Amino acid sequence: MEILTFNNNKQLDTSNFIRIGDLSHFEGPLLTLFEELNSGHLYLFDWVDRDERYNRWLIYRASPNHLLNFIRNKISHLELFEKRPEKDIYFTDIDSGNKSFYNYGTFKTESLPKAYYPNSDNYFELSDCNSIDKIKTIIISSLSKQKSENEYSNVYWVSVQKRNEVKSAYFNRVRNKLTSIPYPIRHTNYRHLLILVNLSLNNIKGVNFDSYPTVKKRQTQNKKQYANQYN
Amino acid sequence: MTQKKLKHIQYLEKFKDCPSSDFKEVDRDAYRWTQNPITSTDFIPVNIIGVPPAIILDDTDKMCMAYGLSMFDSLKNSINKYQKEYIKRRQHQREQFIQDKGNFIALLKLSKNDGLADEPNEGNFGHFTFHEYYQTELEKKVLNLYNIFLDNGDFNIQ
Repeated sequence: MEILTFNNNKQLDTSNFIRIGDLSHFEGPLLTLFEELNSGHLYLFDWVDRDERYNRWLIYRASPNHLLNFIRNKISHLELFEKRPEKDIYFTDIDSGNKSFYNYGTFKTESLPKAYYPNSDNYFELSDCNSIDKIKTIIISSLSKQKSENEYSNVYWVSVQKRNEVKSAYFNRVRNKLTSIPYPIRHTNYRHLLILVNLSLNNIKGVNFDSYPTVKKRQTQNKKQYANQYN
Repeated sequence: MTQKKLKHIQYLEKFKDCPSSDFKEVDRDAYRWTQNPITSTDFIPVNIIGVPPAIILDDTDKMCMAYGLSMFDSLKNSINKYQKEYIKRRQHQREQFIQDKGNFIALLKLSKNDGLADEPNEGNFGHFTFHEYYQTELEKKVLNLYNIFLDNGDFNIQ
């Protein structure tokens, strides 16, 4: 197998990945679509190499738009790869044990060998795909939800401990919280950021004023929606 | 009727209805990718062979058919499928593909005492899955061997 340089500290958490189906399959999966439940992002597991002990997979994001073009044979596997919405490429080596993919470390590659790029003349073939209806449904659903990346950025919350003011607030994109634009909260991932004492909410740009019960209600609805989706 | 025992039954019995009732005893020609010379290791299902490891992401890949043998209903279909799988792989994976699957096609004459097969899938190059009976030695049932590649490296498409 190729020797990869990677950053041990930059891992991809695949514990919330749900397997949608194989875009290419022959005596095992070759190119498999996943959805990350928290973000709604779509990821591809792309089988690229093996040795006597491991199978190696590249893992990278794919946009729903380009995935649709791929399964409509408008773009090749290489174009799908090159048009990925995030440039980060991860890999995982899975051995012949009985563990599932999420039990293995998934590391960010520092650079990708040319040999691992997909072929430019490799196009989607329906006969290789074992669940095209489910894959199409998820891609179309993802397209309708994902009007912009911002809608899917993490939602963070702050507690505001001042009388007569909202006790919790939620906003997108913690790194740019002073300039971010509020979006309707559609996300299910909340993280305690910091506690602000005696600070007016109006001074925090980008704050979304949904109450905590409202957000929790949406969170529950989202979980039910996902649960139904994969039944 | 005497119940015939299938090979690898310890894996098959983990699945419900494996192989399914669609699988029947057959008298037919079958074509399988092999090495040359042929040995018994050419007839080990992908999920059982240890080296290289089976391509598995999670338990859903441990499906019944992966404990059977891939075969084709005609020489032409078997070469065409091989060519398709070969071409879609990256260069180094093509070399691995030849190592794993061989570069020959064996013609076998399957008889009803050999095992159970499903119907060839016309939408997938006449591919079908074969589950051997315990006593079957398919390596001894090879009638002919065809080279997949010509000397110049092109596919031997007749």
